Amino acid sequence: MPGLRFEHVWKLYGRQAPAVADLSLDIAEGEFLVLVGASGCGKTTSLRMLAGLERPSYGRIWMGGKDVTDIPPGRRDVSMVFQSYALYPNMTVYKNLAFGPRVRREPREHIRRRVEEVAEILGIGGLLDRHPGELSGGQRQRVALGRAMIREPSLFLMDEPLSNLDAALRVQMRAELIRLHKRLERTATVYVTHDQVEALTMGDRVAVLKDGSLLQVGTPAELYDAPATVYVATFIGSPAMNVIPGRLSIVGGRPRVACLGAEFEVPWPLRPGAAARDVLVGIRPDDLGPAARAPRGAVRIGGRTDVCEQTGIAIYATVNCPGAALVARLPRSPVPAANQPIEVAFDPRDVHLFDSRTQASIADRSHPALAGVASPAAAAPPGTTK
Amino acid sequence: MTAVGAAPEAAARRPAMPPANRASLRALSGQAIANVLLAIFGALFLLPMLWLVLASVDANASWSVEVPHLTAANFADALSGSNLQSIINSIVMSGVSTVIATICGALAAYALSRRRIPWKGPLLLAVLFLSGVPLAILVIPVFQMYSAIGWLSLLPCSLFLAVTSLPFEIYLIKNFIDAVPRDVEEAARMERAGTFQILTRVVGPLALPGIGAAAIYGFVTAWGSFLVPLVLITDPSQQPGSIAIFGFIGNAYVRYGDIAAFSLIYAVPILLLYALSARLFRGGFVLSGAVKG
Ligand SMILES: Nc1ncnc2c1ncn2[C@@H]1O[C@H](COP(=O)(O)OP(=O)(O)OP(=O)(O)O)[C@@H](O)[C@H]1O
Ligand SMILES: [Mg+2]
Repeated sequence: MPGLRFEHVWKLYGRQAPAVADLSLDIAEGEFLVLVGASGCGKTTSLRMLAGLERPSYGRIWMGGKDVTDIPPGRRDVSMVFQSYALYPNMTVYKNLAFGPRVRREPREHIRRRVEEVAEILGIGGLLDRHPGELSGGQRQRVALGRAMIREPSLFLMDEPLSNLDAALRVQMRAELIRLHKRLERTATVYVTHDQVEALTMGDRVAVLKDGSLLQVGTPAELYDAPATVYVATFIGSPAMNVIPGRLSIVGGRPRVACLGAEFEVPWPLRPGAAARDVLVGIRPDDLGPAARAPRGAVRIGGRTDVCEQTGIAIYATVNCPGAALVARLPRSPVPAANQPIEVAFDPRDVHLFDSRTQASIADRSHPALAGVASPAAAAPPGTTK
Repeated sequence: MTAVGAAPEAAARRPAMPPANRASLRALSGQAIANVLLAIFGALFLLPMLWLVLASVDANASWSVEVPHLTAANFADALSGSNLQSIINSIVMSGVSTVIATICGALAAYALSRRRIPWKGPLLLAVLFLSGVPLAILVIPVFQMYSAIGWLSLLPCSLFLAVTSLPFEIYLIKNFIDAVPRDVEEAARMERAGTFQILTRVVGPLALPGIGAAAIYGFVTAWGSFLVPLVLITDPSQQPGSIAIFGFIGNAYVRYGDIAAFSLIYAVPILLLYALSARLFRGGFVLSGAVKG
C-alpha cells in the first residue's frame, strides 16, 4: 500500500527510558499528520527515523509499500525542516535555498526561478544575499522552511517549523503550508508541534505522544470530542479540560456519577461491563457556563469566583467550588468581581468520564448513540491505540 | 527619555562621589620595573634581527652590529646556483608535505569526528601522543627503511615530514569539525548530497580556519626541518634551505653577509604565510546562524 507506516518501532538510547516505544502508525498518501506532545516525548526522534537519520532499534518503517528501514536519507525522497534550522552558515540565503537543486544538478535557470518563488511566498525575497548569521530567528526559520519547500518530495517532515514566528506571521505561514500541501496532492506531511491549536487547525489527523508512546491518533474533532485518556483530554483544547474526581455507581442498571456534591445520570452508554468505581470527570471550560442560562437538566454547582481571564469574546473564570477549582466560560460582560458567589452549570451529555486507575475513557464510542463521534480505534490501524 | 534626564542629574551629584580610584605608587613602580625588564628582553630578541638586516646589505659583514657598507652582492650570492636550488627544494618539500598532511589530516579528522569507531577515545589519545614523539627517535629506522628501497631523496622525505605532522593536524582539524553542527550535515544529506559534496561544500568550508591553521603548521614545521632532510636526502642538489645555511658555516671562512642575506630570503615564505593567515582568520569561524540558540 502507498503511504507510510511505522510498524512496532522502538528507539532506545542507551539504558534510559525509550525515546520512542512501540510506535505503530499508518499515514496515508497526501495526508497531513500532526505529531503533538510535551517536550521530550519523542517527536523529533520519530521524524528522524522517517527521514532515515536515525535507525529504529526495533521495528520497521515502510514508505510507498517498500521497507525503507535500511535505506539512507538521501534515497528516500523526503525533505525536512529541522527544529534547529540547520542552515549552511557559510552560504547566503540564496545558496542555502539552491543547495539541494544544485546538488541534484537541476538546470540553473529553473533553480533561480524556484528560489525566487519560494522566497516570495515566505517573504524573504529581500534577504537572499545575506548569510544566516545576519538574520533574525524568525527569518532563519523561514529560510529553513524554504529549503524544504524548494523540492516537491513525496514526504515533508516539519519539526516545529513555525515556533519562532510572531502570531500574525505564524497564521499566514500556516495558511501557506496548507496551500502547499493541497497543491502537492500525493505528498504526505508529518508536522511536529507542541502547540495544540496549531495541531487542531492544520492536521487531517493528529497523533498525541507521551513519553515515547502513541496515546491516540484521530481527526481533530475526534481528539477534542472523544479523548481516549485523561492526558489527551487535558492536552487538547484550550483552556485545559477540568478534571475532577468522582464516583460512578450503577443504580437500577443506569450509571450515575457523583462529584462536587452534585449527582447526575450519564446520558450516554458506557463501555460494556462498566461497574461502580472511582472515576475522573472531565468538563471542558467551554461546556461549563453560568447556571442562569443553563437548560433544564443541567447540573448546577455553586462556588466563588477567583481569577478571570479575558479573551475578547468570553471570560474564562476560575471558580472555587468545594473540593475543586473549575474554569468556566462566562459571557464577556458583566465582568465578575472576585470572590463573589456564583453558580455554574454543565450538561451531563458534555461530560467525559475516565477510569481513575487506568486513566482511560470509559465511554462506549462504538455505540450508535455516540455515532457522531467516530471511534478512535476504528480510524487507526489495529494496535495503534495503547 | 529617562536616560536623557538622568545625565545632568548625575553630573550634579559628582562632588559627592568618593575620590577616584588611582593605582598606588607601589603598584606603579612595580609596573615600571616590569616594563623595563620586558624592554631589555625585547631588545635581546630584536638585536639578532637587526644584525640580520644590517649584515645582509654590508659588504664586509662580521658578527658584530655595525653601520653597513651598502651592497647587494650578498643577495646575489645567496640567490646564486645551488643556493637558489635549495630554496626551491624547500618550497617543493614543504609544499608536498603540507598538501599530503592536510588532505589526509582533514579526511581522518572527519572520520574521527563523525563516524562511530570502536576504541575512538584511546585512538585519539594515541594520535595526540604520537605527535609528541621526538623525530630523532624515528629518523634512523626510517633512514634504514628508505635506503633499503632507494627512497633517500626529496619527495619521500616530504612524505615522511607529512607523516610526522599528521597527528597534530588531525587533532587540530578534528576540533574544528566537532564544532560544525551535525544537523547541518544531515540537512545536506537529506538533499541527496554525497559524502564528497558534504565535505567540499559544507564541512570543509566551515572547518576552513582549522584546516588552514593545520596547513600552516605543517608548512612551517617542514620548512624549518633540519634533521630529517639531512638524514633522508643524500643528493646535495636536493637539500633544502635549512641545510644550505648550515653549509655557509662549514666553508673555509664564514661569510656572514651571505648567511644574513640567505636567511632573510629563507624567512620570506614564513612572513607571507603570516600575512595569509591573518587574512584567513579575520573571516573568523562562520558558524553563527547555523542552528537555533
Ligand atoms: N541522541 C540522543 N541520545 C540520547 N538521548 C536522546 C537523543 N536524542 C533524543 N534523546 C532522548 O529521547 C527523548 C525524545 O527526544 P526528542 O528529541 O524526540 O523529543 P521531542 O519530542 O522532539 O522534544 P522537543 O519538543 O523538546 O523537541 C528525550 O528524552 C531525549 O532526551
Ligand atoms: Mg524536538
